Amino acid sequence: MMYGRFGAVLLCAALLWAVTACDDPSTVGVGVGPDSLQGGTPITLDVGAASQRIAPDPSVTGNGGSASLWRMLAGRVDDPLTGPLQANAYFDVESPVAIPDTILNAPAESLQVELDLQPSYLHGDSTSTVTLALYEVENEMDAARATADQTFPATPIRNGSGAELTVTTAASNDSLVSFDLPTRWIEDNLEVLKDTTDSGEAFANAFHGFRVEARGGNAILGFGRTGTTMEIRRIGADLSSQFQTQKQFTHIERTGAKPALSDRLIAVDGLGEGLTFSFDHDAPPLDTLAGAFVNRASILAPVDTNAWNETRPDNFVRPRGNIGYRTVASLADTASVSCGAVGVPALSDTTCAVPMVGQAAPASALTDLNVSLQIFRESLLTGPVFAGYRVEIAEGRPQQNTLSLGLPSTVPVVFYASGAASTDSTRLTLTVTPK
Amino acid sequence: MISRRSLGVAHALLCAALLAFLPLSVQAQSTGDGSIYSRFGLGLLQDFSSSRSQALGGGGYALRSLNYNPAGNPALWSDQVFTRANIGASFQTISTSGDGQQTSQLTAGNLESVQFSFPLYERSLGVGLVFQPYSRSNYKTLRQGQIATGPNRADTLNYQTQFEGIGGLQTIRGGLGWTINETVRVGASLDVIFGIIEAQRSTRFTRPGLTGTPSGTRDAILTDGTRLSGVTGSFGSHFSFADVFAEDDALSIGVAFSLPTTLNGERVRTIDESLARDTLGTEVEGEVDLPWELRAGLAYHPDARWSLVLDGLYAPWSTASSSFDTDQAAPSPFPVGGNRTLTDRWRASVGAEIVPAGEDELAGYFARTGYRLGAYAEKLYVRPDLDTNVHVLAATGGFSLPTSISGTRVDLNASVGTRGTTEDNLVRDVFYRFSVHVSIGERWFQERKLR
Repeated sequence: MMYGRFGAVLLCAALLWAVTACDDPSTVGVGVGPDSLQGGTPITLDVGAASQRIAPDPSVTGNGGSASLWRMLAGRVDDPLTGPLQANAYFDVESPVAIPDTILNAPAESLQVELDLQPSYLHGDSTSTVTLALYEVENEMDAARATADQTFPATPIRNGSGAELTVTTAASNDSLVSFDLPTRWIEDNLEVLKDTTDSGEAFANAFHGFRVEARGGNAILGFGRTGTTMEIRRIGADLSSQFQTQKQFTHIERTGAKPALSDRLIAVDGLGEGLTFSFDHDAPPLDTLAGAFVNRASILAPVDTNAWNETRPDNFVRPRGNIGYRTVASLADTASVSCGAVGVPALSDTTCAVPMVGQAAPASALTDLNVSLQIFRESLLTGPVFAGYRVEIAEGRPQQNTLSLGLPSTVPVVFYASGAASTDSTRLTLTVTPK
Repeated sequence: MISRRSLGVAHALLCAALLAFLPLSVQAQSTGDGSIYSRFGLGLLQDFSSSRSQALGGGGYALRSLNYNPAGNPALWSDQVFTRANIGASFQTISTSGDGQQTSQLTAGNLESVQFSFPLYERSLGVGLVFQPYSRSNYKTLRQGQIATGPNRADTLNYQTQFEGIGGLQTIRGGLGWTINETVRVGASLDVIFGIIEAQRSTRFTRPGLTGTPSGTRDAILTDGTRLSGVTGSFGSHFSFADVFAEDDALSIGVAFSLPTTLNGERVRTIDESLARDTLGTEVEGEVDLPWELRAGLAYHPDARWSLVLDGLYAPWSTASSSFDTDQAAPSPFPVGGNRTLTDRWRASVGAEIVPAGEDELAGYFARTGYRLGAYAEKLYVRPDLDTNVHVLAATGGFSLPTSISGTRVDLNASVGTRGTTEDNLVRDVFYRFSVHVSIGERWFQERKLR
């Protein structure tokens, strides 16, 4: 009897569960009632960037030795898009673990010290001859995260202040640039060069690196960390010791007038001339969208690649293939959320890094869809999250959703200056469903 | 030692617990009645009294029975022998057509009722407990389109904007029925009404030829939810007369009255779905005043085989009001279209039942089966276009199948009907409903006596 009772209940429960809902709804009924079912239709609209300009914020060109892919730049270039630029390279080397006795016991005059720099970057006239002077840096360089506007003084050499140790010339497309250090420098530094004690600490305390300064030519060359070495060898012996590069830093400056293009804004890497802009949430159409559902969002800064090509003289090389972009957003004073709340990493208390779509570069700087969605979802709900955006050139990071710094470069990029929302303008594109 | 009485109580509690959990499960998979008319007012009102009365047109306010414990008139709880549990579920398909000949099809399963009753004094004083829907707001209609997205409009997505009604009010009714004498019975119940009515608008995106929301895209889901609760009371009376028109016939009159009440609650707008919902703005508190409702019926039994019923219901919903009917944009006014969309409701039903065997429990199976037919007409309490009354016309029927367990029956009911009109920019629903009810009755709380 009891089984029968519970069986009936369970049968009933099974029947209920077996009833599965299905439907084939249509538009029938949409118009019923005094307030017919309305809304819910998404629209796509563009919001032109406001306050577009190029603002300098010197790029980080220094590396304390942790980034194996870092580079330094040296040379002069007069690019129609950048104006005349000069780049001076700084680098330090570390002592080898041990130096063979053949070298240790040799007198200075029987030793040869050579700096070998393998170019991995060219900006300028590929037919130009580059003249570079070598200096010794006077004091310990704090190269880690040093910005391109910094300099480090050269050591006074015997009879002068900051005089060069040596000068070399190279064709801009040569595969190796070498400096032979003079014998007098070897004599002055012989004991330092031979000192491998304290795991190289003694050498590091006594020697602070070199500066490579442009003297002539129309090209800036870049040298990777692994392709830059100092070698000491005994003349006539097939034996040498190599000093590997540790720190790298590049000082970059414009030495003449900045060029201008009509209706265009020219950003220059290295100088840190990035494209800054904002979106006015108090003006149409954003002021009408408060509370609207954001379905999709992206910020696009298109690049005028024609201007980039047309302003390039014959035989003039710009490193284009590796151009990526990095966007730094400044939190609005009124922002009620942090960087993490909209899914972006914080760079400081007031700035966040906005991931980019790597594949869109170099033709445009395009923000990641998912992150943009979070940013503008929050912005339309609670007010602007970011007061402004700054698109920086991140050379050497072309296929990444660039958050990290680009490698030091002097590459220019031409952005459109129009503030109106057009196909050539920097703009925010929103697909929204109004409330 | 566990006594038989305590074992019976344990059985009863276990069953009650099981039955109490079932509604939640069932409602979770339900998409409801699927009528756009449930978008208005508090949703479509549910009138379930018992599975027997459902097959007889839906009234049965004077229909006394030992096999059922009708919720429509608490006076009927007085006449009980068995401790009884009822549970029922329905399966309904609705085809809706509009003026433009478009149609939509919605099919869904729903809980109809969970009822539990037992006699305190056999056939004299009984208790009834009922959990069942008071109203359902369940509809679904949509628009579809395509949209070009992205900075260069190079990415075309499909979208579907769906308007959906979810939820409704539930009622828990508990009360007593008392047999004053062979002619007069009275009853009263306390009715707790509670629930959430949600109107949801969702815009969902897909890439052509694919399913799922594309990466970097967010669906737009907006829900206006109204949480309401309140308490009311019902009183019922039942009068029985024997040998009225013929020898051994019986005539019953049943009248029940539900008091007007006020439901209190809050209305809030949320975005997104389920656990990810964010509340927009602040909750709006308000009240909904419900009108009184009068239910009356006649039941005539020419002999032990036949039962004939005639029932009516009236509620002046035009006097109902809601303080949620405001001018503010969010959340939107409630009820939809405002108080002016409410109008007086009436319902009339007739039905006939024959059990060929009458009271002969030794007759064949089909002779002990109950055969029922009924019909009803109803004027809905909502008038979406403020002018055109919406009527329901339906035929009902069913079989009441005896089981090998004395006091337990399985009822299979069906109804077919229309609701509304395709004129005046309205729609007409054609609905087919099938339901299954299990009614279990035993002497759970009473000591068995050796006779």
